[in-house]
Amino acid sequence: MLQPAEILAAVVFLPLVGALVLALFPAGDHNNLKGTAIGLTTANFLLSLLLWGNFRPGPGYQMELNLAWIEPFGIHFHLGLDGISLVLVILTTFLMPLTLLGAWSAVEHRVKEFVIAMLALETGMLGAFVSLDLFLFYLFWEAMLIPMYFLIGIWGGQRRIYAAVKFFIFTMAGSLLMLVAILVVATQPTGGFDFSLATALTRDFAPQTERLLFWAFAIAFAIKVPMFPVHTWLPDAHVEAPTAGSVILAGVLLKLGVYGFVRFAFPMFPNAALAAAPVLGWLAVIGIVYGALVAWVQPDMKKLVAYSSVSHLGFCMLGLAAMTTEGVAGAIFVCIAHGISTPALFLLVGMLYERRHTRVLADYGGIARKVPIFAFFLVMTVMASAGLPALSGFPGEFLVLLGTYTSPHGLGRIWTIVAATGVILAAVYLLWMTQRVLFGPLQNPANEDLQDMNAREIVTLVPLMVMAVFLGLHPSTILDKIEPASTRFVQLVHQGSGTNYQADAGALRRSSGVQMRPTTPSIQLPIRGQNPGGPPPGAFQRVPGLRGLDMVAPVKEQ
Amino acid sequence: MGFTPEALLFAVFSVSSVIAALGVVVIRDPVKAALSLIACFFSISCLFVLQSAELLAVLEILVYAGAIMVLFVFVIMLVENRDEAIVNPALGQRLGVPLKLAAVALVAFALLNGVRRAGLSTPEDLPTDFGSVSSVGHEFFDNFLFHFEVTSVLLLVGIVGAVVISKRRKPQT
Amino acid sequence: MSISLPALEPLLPGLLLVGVAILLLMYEVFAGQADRTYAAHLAVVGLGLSMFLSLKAVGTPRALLFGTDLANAPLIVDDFARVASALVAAAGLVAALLSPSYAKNAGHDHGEYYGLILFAVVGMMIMSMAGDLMTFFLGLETMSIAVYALTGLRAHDPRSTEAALKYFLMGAFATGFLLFGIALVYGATASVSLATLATFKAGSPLLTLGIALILIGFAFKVAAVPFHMWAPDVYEGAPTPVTGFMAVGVKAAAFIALLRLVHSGLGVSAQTDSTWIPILSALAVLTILVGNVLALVQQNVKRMLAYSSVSHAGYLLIGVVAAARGEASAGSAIIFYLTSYTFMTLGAFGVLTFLERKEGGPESERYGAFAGIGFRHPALGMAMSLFMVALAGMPPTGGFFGKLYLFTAAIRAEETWLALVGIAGSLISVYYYLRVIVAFYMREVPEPGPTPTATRSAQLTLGVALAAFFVLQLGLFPAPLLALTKSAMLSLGL
Repeated sequence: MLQPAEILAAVVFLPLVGALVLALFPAGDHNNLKGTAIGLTTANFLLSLLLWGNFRPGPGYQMELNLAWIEPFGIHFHLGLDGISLVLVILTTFLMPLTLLGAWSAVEHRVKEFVIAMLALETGMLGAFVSLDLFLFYLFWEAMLIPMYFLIGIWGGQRRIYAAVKFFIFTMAGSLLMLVAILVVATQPTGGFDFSLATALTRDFAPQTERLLFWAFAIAFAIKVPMFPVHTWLPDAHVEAPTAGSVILAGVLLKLGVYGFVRFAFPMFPNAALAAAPVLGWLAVIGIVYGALVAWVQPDMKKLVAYSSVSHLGFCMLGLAAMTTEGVAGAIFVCIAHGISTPALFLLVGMLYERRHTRVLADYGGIARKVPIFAFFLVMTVMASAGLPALSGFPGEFLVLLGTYTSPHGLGRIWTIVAATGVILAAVYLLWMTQRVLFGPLQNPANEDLQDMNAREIVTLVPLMVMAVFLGLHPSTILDKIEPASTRFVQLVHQGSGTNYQADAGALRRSSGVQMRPTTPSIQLPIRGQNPGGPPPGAFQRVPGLRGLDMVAPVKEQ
Repeated sequence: MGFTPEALLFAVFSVSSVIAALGVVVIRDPVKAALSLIACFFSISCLFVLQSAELLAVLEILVYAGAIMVLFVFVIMLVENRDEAIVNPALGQRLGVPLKLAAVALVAFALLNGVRRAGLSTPEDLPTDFGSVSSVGHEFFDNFLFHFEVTSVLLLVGIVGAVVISKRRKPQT
Repeated sequence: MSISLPALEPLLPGLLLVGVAILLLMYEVFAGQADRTYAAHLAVVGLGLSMFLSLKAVGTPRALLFGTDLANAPLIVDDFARVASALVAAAGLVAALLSPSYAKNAGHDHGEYYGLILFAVVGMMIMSMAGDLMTFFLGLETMSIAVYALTGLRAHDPRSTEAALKYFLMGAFATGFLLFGIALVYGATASVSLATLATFKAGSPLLTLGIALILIGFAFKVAAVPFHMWAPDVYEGAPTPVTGFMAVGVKAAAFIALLRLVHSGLGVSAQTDSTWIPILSALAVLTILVGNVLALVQQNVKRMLAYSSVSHAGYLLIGVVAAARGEASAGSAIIFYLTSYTFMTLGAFGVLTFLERKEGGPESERYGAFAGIGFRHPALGMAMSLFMVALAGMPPTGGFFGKLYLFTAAIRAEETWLALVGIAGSLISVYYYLRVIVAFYMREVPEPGPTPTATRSAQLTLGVALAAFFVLQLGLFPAPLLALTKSAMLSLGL
């Protein structure tokens, strides 16, 4: 039987191994290639459920695998999971087989290259979510760029090359900035190198340096999210990408930006992060409203969904900027919820496009009577995406708004009000789109013999719908996992920066009104830097049974 | 350093060598240019004599003025003397001329300045047999044996390279 | 002075190559019109053996040849020289593997071709071992003349002849600078030895000028801006495998010699002379920016690679600046970068060799000519993508780790701004390297329209595969090479 840590490594690398195996398959046998790829990704999903089963509630890293790799540079092959990583990993493995299934008939040429790119992409994404070494993280971060570039550039639409190159250059620009920052962080004052995240968390920098380093990381992640002024690559990439590319892009890739903030940018540079939080918060609410308004006026469905992503991801960033347990947990929950509803939307748009080769809203109207099953799924998805209660979109956005309202810094209430209009706008543009596509008189004669969804398409969407309903009714399934990690994150940042904010582990349970397991004890991490206002050193308590970072708790000698 | 006969000769030959070198570049008729080059070599050889490097002076005449230049002149005479159209240099090239002149002036200035301030040794400091055949030979085979040997490889490479490029072979099928 | 044969043992890797080269030249007399693939095999075996001997000797004490101490030994065979020799031998080996099918196509399938490659490698080895400036000069000339001749081999193509002539003239010009500089240094110090040079304090104007002229000579050889004008024409005109060889070998040898000059000759550890740092920095910045921007506007892949090679010289100059600042890891970083650069560039030129059309011509080297290759020849497409990604400095390739190492050295030398310039350059470079991938995979194939045919050749395949293997190996498991570069720099006293 495999150790949990080995299962983790297996989950990360199984798709890559699969890609290498598929490279040996004959290129002509399309069904075989697609079928094998779906089988592989499904197996990987089941394997990743073992991770879920092995995960013990708690804030630290679990299932760590730490192997020496490039010794002279202090680089380790270090994988590990906390609750936030866990749910994002599951989301990735869950979406992958559905995406491939959804693309079954959409991708008819270069099938072999397509499935190889998809599988390589999966390894890149999974690896980035579980890397606890800066070098390893950067490796996966960049490595997933290449397959995505191919996905857009080869199987994309008319302006695919433009979109692919724009996507690549934007991301690369951020990544390179981050690389310099990583190098600075990894270069130890004593002379050697250490790329491990644990060491990076213990380092103190001069305020000026810390600010520069934070922004180098933040810009890289903000481009990926994408946050408001650097979002322009996203609509192009989404519109030109094939459906499968859009699904993965919206479902997983964007989350890596949020994840980067949570795992690296904020905890490593807490002072700069707190100082930058107002800027990030404003950009987030601008993104929420701007994305929603632009989505409203899009004539193209895919572009509409793309801008809705800008708006939704704004909620994630707002939750992080709020710096409260509710906000952070809500942000991660929005990530998951968006990772379920938006892929479904892209799949549905893709199904229409496959039939009619147009995505323009004006070409449709009144098709609900012709395609009732499709109409059902679209309405369900739209409601989930718009954040209707009892569906997956609701708890996350609610928690974010709540966390922002109670945010310790003063701007929270204004942000909450502005962001709340974003929720309303989301309902407006999504229902507007649904109304124009599905209802009203059937005017376009080309829609007369529109085919309804076939069995394969239904099978693709049903799991997504089930998850949308399930997470809406039982958000605690996920919140249980992410709450300790979120609490710990908030404490790390606040304590690291010396501010005296006590994260309240019970707050989430009380405020969200959802039943949760008995709360995990609040964890006090040792404080770095000067912290006159903090609790006395004797007040530290270590939670027994926790592994990972907490065991090597960062203690900085003064 | 006073105004000695050596200084006068040095001035004469250095000026003549520079003028002759310029002539090689400026004169369009290849034969006259080649003759100018011979004049340049001759002036340099005289400069070597003034530097007490007799062997070098003799070699300069023998090898360069004698062997290489004769070869040059042969080649020029054998190659058909076509009237080459004088092409207007491209804008970039015309722009480049002042730049190049400026660079040359800069190097010359730096050089003169450097030499003036460096305070070099005078011929009186040299050993008596400096520049003689035997002392050069000793340098070659004692201190610079490796350099001497590796020069043979260098020359071999030069010959092989020249032959490979110029040799016309039947195109292979 | 008498030299006993056993004393020459440290020189064996070089002597072996001279022997093989002469054997090839002599056999050429009897060979007639036969296929010359055997010559490639012989050269590859010789280079491989030479590489093996160099690497095997790593870790043994330093050997001084033809002299008794550092001040009078023309050849210093230390770990630095051994690692460098192995590197240039590897470059020659891959280049020789790329050559047979190309040479047959282009009609210059001569035994001398491989002889010249071997001689060039010998020259590079001498450069890496040079203990004085004269030895260095002789090594440089041996290398250069061999490469001039190799450049002009495609006698039927005027581009090749023009390239050879241009390269030769510019090279002679650079040599003039170099020799003049050496003469001035001799005038100032009465010695050509690097060790003696190190004992001189900076400040003598003659010495400064001499070193400046030597640096200009270097800048010509590595095609640093503003001494890069010759590079694109020469790269375009030379036979493709030779272009690859020249791009990596000449650059590697020049940077390795420069490193020895900086560490042994300029007395960097004492920080006596910081005049060079602003000049070298300016050179690095100019080279990175101009090289990348000009590469951006090229329509011909070979010319693009030429300008990209200019920009890589710029990245390496960042390392030289860091080395001149006294940063101990900069030298290792330069050697590491050169090694990965060797494999990724030779690999890229190998793929181009694969796709070369018999009729040739500049049209066949434009981006558009490669439309759809990625699907027609999947392995070639994958390899080319790998090399482009590596050249752009992305993980998980040796190109990434090399850049990481170089920029870390710059940051540790407190030249973070140079690292940022390097990063900016890399970002520009992403665009034009991606263009190759775009052409290979994303452009519509013109119908009917000719597309390059892939030449089948076992040697060529092996060469590209070796390059691809090492590009990945250096990216994922760089530790063995890191150890080698470390012991190389230790032998220089760092």
